[in-house]
Amino acid sequence: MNSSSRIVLGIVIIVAVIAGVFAFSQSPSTSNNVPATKNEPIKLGFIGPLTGDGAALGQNARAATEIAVAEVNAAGGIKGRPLEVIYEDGKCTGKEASNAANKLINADNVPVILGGLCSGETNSFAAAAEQAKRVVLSFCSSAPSITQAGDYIFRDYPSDLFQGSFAAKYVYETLGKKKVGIVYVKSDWGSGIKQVFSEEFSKLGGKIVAEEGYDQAARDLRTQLTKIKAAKPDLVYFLGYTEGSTVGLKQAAELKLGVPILGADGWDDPKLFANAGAAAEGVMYTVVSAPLSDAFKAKMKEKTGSEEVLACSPGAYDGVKILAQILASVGTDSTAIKDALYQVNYVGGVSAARVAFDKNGDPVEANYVVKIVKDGKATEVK
Amino acid sequence: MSYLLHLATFFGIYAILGVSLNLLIGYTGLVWIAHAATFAVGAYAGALFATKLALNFFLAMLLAMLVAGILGSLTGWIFSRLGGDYYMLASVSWNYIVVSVLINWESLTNGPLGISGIPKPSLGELSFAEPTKFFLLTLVLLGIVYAAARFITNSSFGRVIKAIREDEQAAKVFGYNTLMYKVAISGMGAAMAGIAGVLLASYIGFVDPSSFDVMESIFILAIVVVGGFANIRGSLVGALALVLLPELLRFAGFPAEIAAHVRLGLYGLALILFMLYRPQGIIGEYKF
Repeated sequence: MNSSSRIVLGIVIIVAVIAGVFAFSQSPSTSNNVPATKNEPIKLGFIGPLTGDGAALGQNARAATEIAVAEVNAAGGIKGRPLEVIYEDGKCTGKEASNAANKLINADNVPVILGGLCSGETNSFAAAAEQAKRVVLSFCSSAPSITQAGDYIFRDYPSDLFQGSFAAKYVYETLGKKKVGIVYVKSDWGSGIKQVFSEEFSKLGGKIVAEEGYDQAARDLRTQLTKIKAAKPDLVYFLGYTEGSTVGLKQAAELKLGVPILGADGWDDPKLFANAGAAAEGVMYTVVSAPLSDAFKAKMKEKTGSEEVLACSPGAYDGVKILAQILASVGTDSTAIKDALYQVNYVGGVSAARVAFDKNGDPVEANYVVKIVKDGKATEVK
Repeated sequence: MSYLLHLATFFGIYAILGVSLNLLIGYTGLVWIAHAATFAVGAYAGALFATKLALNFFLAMLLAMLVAGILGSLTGWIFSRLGGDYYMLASVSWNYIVVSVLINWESLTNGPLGISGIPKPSLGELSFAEPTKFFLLTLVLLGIVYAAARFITNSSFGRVIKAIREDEQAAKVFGYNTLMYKVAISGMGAAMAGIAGVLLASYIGFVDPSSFDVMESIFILAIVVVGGFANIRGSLVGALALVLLPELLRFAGFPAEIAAHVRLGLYGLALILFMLYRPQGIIGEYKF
C-alpha cells in the first residue's frame, strides 16, 4: 500500500467516523412528528443571506424573527414549549440555500422553514421541501415562478406580478402617461417586474418606447438614461436597488430627463433619498402597504440600533407569529401545518392588513401605495 | 441520513468537476479559472433540453456534454494561443462572458430569473427522483468519469499532456502537435463538467446565473488545489474535504448573531493553513 492510498484510506475512515457520530447523535425520531415532550423546544428553520450580497436584508430579517420569537416565548411559548429558530446562511445563492435546507430538514428535522429570502434560494429548495413534505414560508421571495413551486410552499410577500400590474395601471390610469421608458436592474426582481409591467401596460394601450437593463453591480447608468431620454417617454419607470439607483437618480438629474420617475419597492430605503439628495426630489415609487406599527419600529430599533426596517423584515416577523398560532392549534405535524396555513386569516400584523393564502400559497391580496419624495422624506400619495 | 445522502450527492457532482479540472490544470498545466462557466453551460444546456424540448434526462445529458465539449474545445483552441498567465486571465474573462450571456439572453435562459421545474431523471419505468437513487446515479456517473480520467492519464495521450505541462517546446520538438492535444483535453474536461452541470440542474430542479460566478470557479479550483495536482484520487479527496468542511461548521454551535461569519472565517483560515503547510495538496504529485 503506497502512501497516497494510505492517506485516502485514512480520510475515508475519518469521514465514516464523523458521519457515524452524526447519524447516531441525532434525535432518534425520523418522522416529522417531533415527540411532544414537555418543555422541549419546537424548532423552526430560517434561511436567508446572512453574509454576502443581500446580507443587510437578511440580518435585518433575522433581527425581526428574533423579536417575534422572543415575544412568543415571553407569552408562554407554544403550550409551554419554547420556540427556537435555527438560522442558516443561504448567501442568496441556490447551492448554499439547498445545502442549508437539506441540513434543516434532515439533520434538525424542522417541520417548517421560514425563508428563503431571495427567490433563487426558495426556488432551489422548494422541490426538496415538497418531497420531504416540509412547509416553506418565504417572507421575501417575489419571483412569479414560486407561485407554482408546490403545495407546501407559501409566501407572505406578494409576487412581482402584483406590483408590475399595479404600477402599469397607476401610470396609465391615474397619472395618464401613455409612453414609458423602462430602466431596470437585471436581477430576478428587476427583470420579473419589468416583464409584467410591459405586458400589462401594452395591454392597457400604452407604449413602451425604450427598455434598458443594467447590471446589478453597475454604478454608471448614463448610457441607459441617455437612450431612454432620446426615446422621449412621458415617464421613466426605474427599477433598481439602493446603490445603483443613487447614482442613477443623480445622473438622471444631470441629464435633465425632465419627466416624472416612478420606482418600485427596492427604493423603500431612507439611505437612497439621503444620498441622492436633490436628485431624488419628486420621484415616486410603489411599495407594499405595510401597516408598520410604531411599536414594531421601536422594537427593531432597540434590537438593531438603527431606524431601518428593511423590506423583508415585516414578513419575517408576521411569519413567526402566524406559525406560532398554528403550532399552538395543530401541533408540529408539517402536513397539518400546511393545511392550517391555507385557512389562515391573520389580521393586525405589520406586513399587511390581512394575511391569507390562496390555493397556490400566495397572499390573496396585495395592497400597494405610491410614495413621493419631498424634502428628502417619502410620503404617501393620497 | 438523507442529509448525508444530499452531501454525498453534492460531493459526487463536485468530484466530477474536480477530476475534470485536474485534467486541465494538474496534468496539462492549463490554469483554467472558468470551470464554473463550463459547469453552467452543461447545467443550462441540460435544463433547456429537458424543459423546452422535453427530452429524456439521459439524452439531454449526452447533448449537454456535446455542447459543453464543443464550446470547451473552441475556447481551448482560442485561449491556448495565449501562454501561461495570459491563458489564466482570459479564462477568468470567459467566466464573466458566459455569466453575462446567461443574464442577458432572456429569450433563451430566462435571464436572472433562471429556469425552474427541471425534471428528475427517469429511464422508462425507473425514476431517479428519490434521493438514494439519485445519489447512486451520481455515483455511477462519477465512476465513469473517474475511470475515463484514469484511462486518459495512463494512456500515451496522458504522457503527452504531462510533457506539455513540463515543457511545451520540448514536446513540440518531438513532433507533437501540442495545440491539438490541448484542444482535445479541453473538450474532454468540458464534457465531463457538462455531466456535473446536468446533474446539478436536475438535482436542485432550478438553475440561475448567480450560481456560476467566478467565485464558484475558484471553489472548484480549490478542490483541485486541496486534493493535489495531477492526481485523480486527490480531486475526490479535495471535493470531499471542501464540500463537507463548511457543512460540518454548521454544527459547531456558534451564537446565531455571528455564526454565519465565523463559519466563513474558519473555512478561509483552513484554506490558508493548507496553502502554508501543504502546498502540494493532500496527495498531489505536482507542485506549481
